[in-house]
Amino acid sequence: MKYWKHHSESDLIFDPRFRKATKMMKVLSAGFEELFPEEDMKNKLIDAEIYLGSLHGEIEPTFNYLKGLAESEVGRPFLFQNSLHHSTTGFLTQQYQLLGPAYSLCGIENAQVELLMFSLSQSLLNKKNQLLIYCDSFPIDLAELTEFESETKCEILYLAEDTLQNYQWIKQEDSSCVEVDSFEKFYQVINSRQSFTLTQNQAQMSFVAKNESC
Amino acid sequence: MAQLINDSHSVYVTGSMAIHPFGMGIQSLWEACINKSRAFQEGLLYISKDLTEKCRGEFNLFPQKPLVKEVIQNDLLIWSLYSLKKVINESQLPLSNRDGLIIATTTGLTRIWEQGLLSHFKNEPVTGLLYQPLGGFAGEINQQLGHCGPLQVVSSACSAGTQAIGLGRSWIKSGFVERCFILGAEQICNLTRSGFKSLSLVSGNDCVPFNEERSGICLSEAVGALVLEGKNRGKAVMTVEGYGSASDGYSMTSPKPDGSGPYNSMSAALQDANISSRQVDWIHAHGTGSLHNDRAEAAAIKKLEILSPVSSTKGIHGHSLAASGVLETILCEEAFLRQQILESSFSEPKHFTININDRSRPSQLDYIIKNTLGFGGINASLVLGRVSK
Amino acid sequence: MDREKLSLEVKSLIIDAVNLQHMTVDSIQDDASLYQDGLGLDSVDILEIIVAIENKYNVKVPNAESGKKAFQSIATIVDFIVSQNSGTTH
Repeated sequence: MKYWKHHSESDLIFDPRFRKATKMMKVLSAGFEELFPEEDMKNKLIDAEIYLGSLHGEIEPTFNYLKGLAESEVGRPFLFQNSLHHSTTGFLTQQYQLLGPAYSLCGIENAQVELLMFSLSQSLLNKKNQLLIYCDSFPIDLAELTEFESETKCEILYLAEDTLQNYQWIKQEDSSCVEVDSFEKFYQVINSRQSFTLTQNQAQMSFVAKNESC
Repeated sequence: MAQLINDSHSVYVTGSMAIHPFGMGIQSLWEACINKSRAFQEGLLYISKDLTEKCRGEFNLFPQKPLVKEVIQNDLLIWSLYSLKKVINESQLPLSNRDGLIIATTTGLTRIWEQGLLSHFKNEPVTGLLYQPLGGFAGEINQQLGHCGPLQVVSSACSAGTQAIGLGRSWIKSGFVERCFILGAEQICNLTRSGFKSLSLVSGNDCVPFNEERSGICLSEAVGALVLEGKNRGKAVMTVEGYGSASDGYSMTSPKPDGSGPYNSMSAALQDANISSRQVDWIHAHGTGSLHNDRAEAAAIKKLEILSPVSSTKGIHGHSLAASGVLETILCEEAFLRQQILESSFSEPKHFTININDRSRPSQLDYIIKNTLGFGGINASLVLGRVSK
Repeated sequence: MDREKLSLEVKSLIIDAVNLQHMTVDSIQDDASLYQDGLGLDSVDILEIIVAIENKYNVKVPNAESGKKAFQSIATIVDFIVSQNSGTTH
C-alpha cells in the first residue's frame, strides 16, 4: 500500500510529453512518478485496476472550450479532447502503458469514500492491484462565480492485491468501527489494523480486522 | 467472507426500459432496425419533444423541490426519471438502502451548464451555472427517487454504459447490494455536437459501420435503464455472465489499430463467463462507423477467431455515447427473447473479412458479446447469456 | 505578402497552438514535415493548427483532402495561405 498527496503547486518542469496535458494530468503524472520511481513497480501496475474520481472532472478545458465556442463559433480540438471526464485517466494509461480496466467516476459527495466503496466491492471478487486516484482542479474564472475553491488537488492510493487479506467484510452495521472518510484515513486505519466502515447515502460497508473484535 | 458473496454465477436482468429517437420501449427500436429506418439529419438524431411530454405526463417525476429550478425543464432528467420510475414500479419491491444505482453519462446536465455559461459570457445574470453537470445530475435523480443506497456515476467516455453494468454485477456478486439499477443517459449538447465535429469525426450523412464507404459517426441521444439481481424472480430472459475491461495505453482519441484493447476486454469477459469464443452466437459490436473504431474492433474479433455473425446497429440509432452500452444491451435482451439477430445496418460494401451479418434472421442465441470502445482508449465487453426455461 | 515574414509568423503560431515550447522559430525548418520524422505532430495537432490558421488568416480548408495536402510542412502551409488570399482578391 502506498499513498501520495499533492501539497503545493509543484513546479512541473516543461516536458514535451506533457505539452497537451491539463493541470490535473500534470499533477497526477508528477504524483505517479514520485510514488513509483522503480521500473518493476510500473510492471506491477500494467494490469492494475484504475479508479479515478473527481467532483468536477476536467472542467477547465470544458469551460475554455465552451468559451471559445461562444466567442468565435470554433471549437478547439485539444480542448474538446481534454474536456472528457475520462481524458485524465486515459492520459495516465497512455503515458505509462497501463493496460488494465480504468474507471472514471464522478464524485457526488465524497469522491474518496465513493472510490473506496467501488474498489473494495471489486476486490471482494477478484484480487488485483488497484490504483485509486482522486483529483480536482477548478478554474479560477469559474471559482469567482461559485463557492468552489480553485486549488488543484490530487491524492493517489495504491492498494496491493493483498492489502485487505487480514480483513473480512460484514453486512451488519457496527458503530464501533472507525468511519473512513478519506484516503488518508483509510491508509492510517489499514496500517494500524483497525476495523472500519464506509458510508454513503444510508448504505454502509463494514470491514472487521480478523481476530480482533470491532 | 465467503458466505456473503453471491454463490450463483449469474446476475439476472430483471427489468429494462429505453427511451430513444424511435420512441419508448425497445420494440420500436427493434422494428426501426428491421425496417432499416434512416432518420439522421446532418449526422444527428434527437428524441422528439412529443415523447418528452409524454414522459412528463405519466409520473410525478419531481416530487421534491429541485436543487436548481432549471432541471424541471431538462429533457435528460425527464427521460431518466421516467425510465427509472418505470423499472422500479415493475420490479415490485420498494427501494431500500440495499439497492444500488449506477449512472453512466459523459455529459449529464452539461446542457444546463452551457446555458448558464453562455449568459455569463454575454455578461447577463447567470442561472444554473453552479450546477455540477455529472454529480449534480446524479444527486438530483437520487433525491427525486428517494434512493438511499449506494450511488455512483461512471463517466469513462463511451465505455461507461457497459462498465456500469459490469460494476453493478460486481456489487451484487460481492453482496454489497441486493438489486442494482443501471442508468445510461445522454443528451446531445453543444459540447459534444461541436466537439466531435472539431475532431472531424462526425459524418455529414449517414452512419455506415464496417462499410468501406464510411464517413464517420452520427450522434444521438438515449436513455436506458436496467435492473440487475442475483436471483431470477421469474421473468428474466437474459443474464450478465461475464464482464471485462481494458485500456489501450495508446491515444486519447483513437483506438490502437491492432485492436489489442478490445481483444483484451473481450478475452477477459469470456474468461469471466467461463466460456470459449466458439460458444459466442452473436457479437453486438460498438461499430461507430469511424475508420479507427471499425478497424480496431474488426482486428480484435479476428484475433479472437470468432466466426459468429457481427452486427452494429448504430447505422439506425446512432451513437449515444455513455448510454449506448446500456441501450444496446437492451437490444440484446430483445434478441434473446425473439431468438433473432439483427443485420449490421448499411454495411455493404463491406470492408472487413469478419462475418458481418447482412440479414436480420432467426438464430439460436445462448451467448452474445456486447462491446464498447471509448476515448482515452477504454474498452469494455459484456458476455450476455440466455436464461434457460 | 512577404513569404519569409509569413513563414516566421506561421512557425510562431504553431508553437503557440500546439504548445511546442521546447522549440523556437529558428529550430523549425521550412520544409520539415509536421509529422513523425519532423515536428512529430499527430492528427489532432494538425486539426488544432488548421483551426488556428483559419482564424488568423481568414482562410478556409475546403475539405479533408486539401487539408491533408496543405498541412504537410511550413512551406506548404505558407503556399496555402498565399493561394487562398490571392484567390479572394480576384
